[in-house]
Amino acid sequence: MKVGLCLGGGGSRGYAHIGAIRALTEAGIKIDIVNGTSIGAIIGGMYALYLDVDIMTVLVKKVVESMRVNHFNLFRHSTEGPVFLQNWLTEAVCDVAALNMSIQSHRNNIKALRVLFGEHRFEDTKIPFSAIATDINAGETVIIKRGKLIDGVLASASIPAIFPPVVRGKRLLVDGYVLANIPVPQLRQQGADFIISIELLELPNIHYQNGVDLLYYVEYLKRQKLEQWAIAQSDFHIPIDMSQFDSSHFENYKVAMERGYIAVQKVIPLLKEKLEKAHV
Amino acid sequence: MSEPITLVLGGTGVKGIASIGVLQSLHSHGIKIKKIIAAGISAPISAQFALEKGPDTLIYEFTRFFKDNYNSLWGLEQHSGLLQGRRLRVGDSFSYFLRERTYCQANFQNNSVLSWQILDPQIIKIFGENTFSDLKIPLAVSVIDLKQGKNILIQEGKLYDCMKASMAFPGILPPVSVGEMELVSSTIYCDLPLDNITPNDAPVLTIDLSMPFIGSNPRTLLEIISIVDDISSRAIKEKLLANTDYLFRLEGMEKFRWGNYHQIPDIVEQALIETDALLEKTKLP
Repeated sequence: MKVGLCLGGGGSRGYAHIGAIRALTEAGIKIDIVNGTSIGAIIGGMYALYLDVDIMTVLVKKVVESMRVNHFNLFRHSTEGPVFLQNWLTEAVCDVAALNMSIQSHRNNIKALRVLFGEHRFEDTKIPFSAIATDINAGETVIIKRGKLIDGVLASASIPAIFPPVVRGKRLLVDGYVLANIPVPQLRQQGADFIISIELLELPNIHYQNGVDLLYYVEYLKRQKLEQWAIAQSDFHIPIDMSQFDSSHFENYKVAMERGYIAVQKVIPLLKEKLEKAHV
Repeated sequence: MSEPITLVLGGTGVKGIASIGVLQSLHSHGIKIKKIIAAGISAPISAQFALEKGPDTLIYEFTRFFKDNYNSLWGLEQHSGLLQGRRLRVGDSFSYFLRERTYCQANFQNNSVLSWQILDPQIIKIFGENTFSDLKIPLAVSVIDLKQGKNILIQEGKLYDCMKASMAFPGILPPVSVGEMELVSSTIYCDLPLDNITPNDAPVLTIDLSMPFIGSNPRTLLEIISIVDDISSRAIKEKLLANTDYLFRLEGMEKFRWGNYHQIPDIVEQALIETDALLEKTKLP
């Protein structure tokens, strides 16, 4: 019986996944297959490649402390900062929005992912791993399990509007969160019998200040709906409260890891009981 | 046909006006409706149908409204079509850029690109002090309450507030406050109001006004956002369609866009013809 680990998306909140994996491995729970969306794909890919949480922590530290990985999500933070700067930025973003495909390029992301994955391929991972992206040309979820890890993971973490879509053959790929932020059905499809899913809970901003906030909130409600359906297919679901974390700021990785570790440690006895019942 | 049905009507933007043809067809086939669940522009149409207003009057009023307010509607028709049939003329590209920019700017500075100023007099004129209890057929209007963060049905109170809320498509029109609630249209979430159907509503007949997928090689950030939004709404709809007993997909409606207000009579005619044909083919309870 194969135990699958499904890691949800959520930007920098996703460092909690490293703590969660540490707690699972310390408890002797063996993972046979892993998948993830966005940051879930980054952490899941690293785990599948190294099977060593210490190496993962060292690499993440290196990336966060030496590179620019924060992304500036103006669509969410349009009303922060001094007024003159807000106005100037708004005008600039309106030009970009009507002329360009994204606010930022992938340059820093590629540099960071190269540190994490080098030139390794999906075929090199020690356990099967897949990254989940969305093809906006076909309007469907894509399971990426071949090619260079850096390419697959980049597509899975390519937040629409913030980063440009990744071209892969005829496909135009963006972040998998659009349809599968917690890709449980996709992991089942790949042969996992018992799925442990990890969700990074966020706090929605219901106090909208403009139309952009409002559109973001409605998009959050839609994502929630799709997530609920996916989670219902999981065998053991672990929500981690990351509502105090901003998804675009990556400095707090240590606190996030700790959060993930504690949240999973708490549920280990129950998880073991369920695994035993499932004859794993 | 003996058992009365619950009718589910939706559709994004102007396309929802097709509901006039659907209701006309069902009426002429003698189909009894015990309740209508409507979203978007289908809500005011259903309400007027339940107030016994004829289809010709409705078509005339909608056509006239759009004709009179053409200059205030931010080129809705062109905007809705640019993703499907762009012309490459420099003038068109420039006008597209300005329209996209205006949309973006309006949504950063305010809550939407249009205001209620244009629609308010029209809605007041139609519904005045009417309430849900004045309707000859029970109506439930699907909206999203931003305070509760969920899709709800409104079945009582003044029609005026509720009709505004059902048309308040985020980004295009501002939210509507009703008591403690802050409401927007649910068509952005799913173009069919299938989220709150209960076993008591059976048998349910859902009318799907097929929308062509807007994807394929977007050029701008706003196009990407629109496509992403469309993809997730479709996924939600496909799942929720399990809640319906009978589904009429009006495939001929694909050729119309959500902002096609110049083609209202054609939209209604197409819906009437297709619903007639599907009623001939389908055995309802």
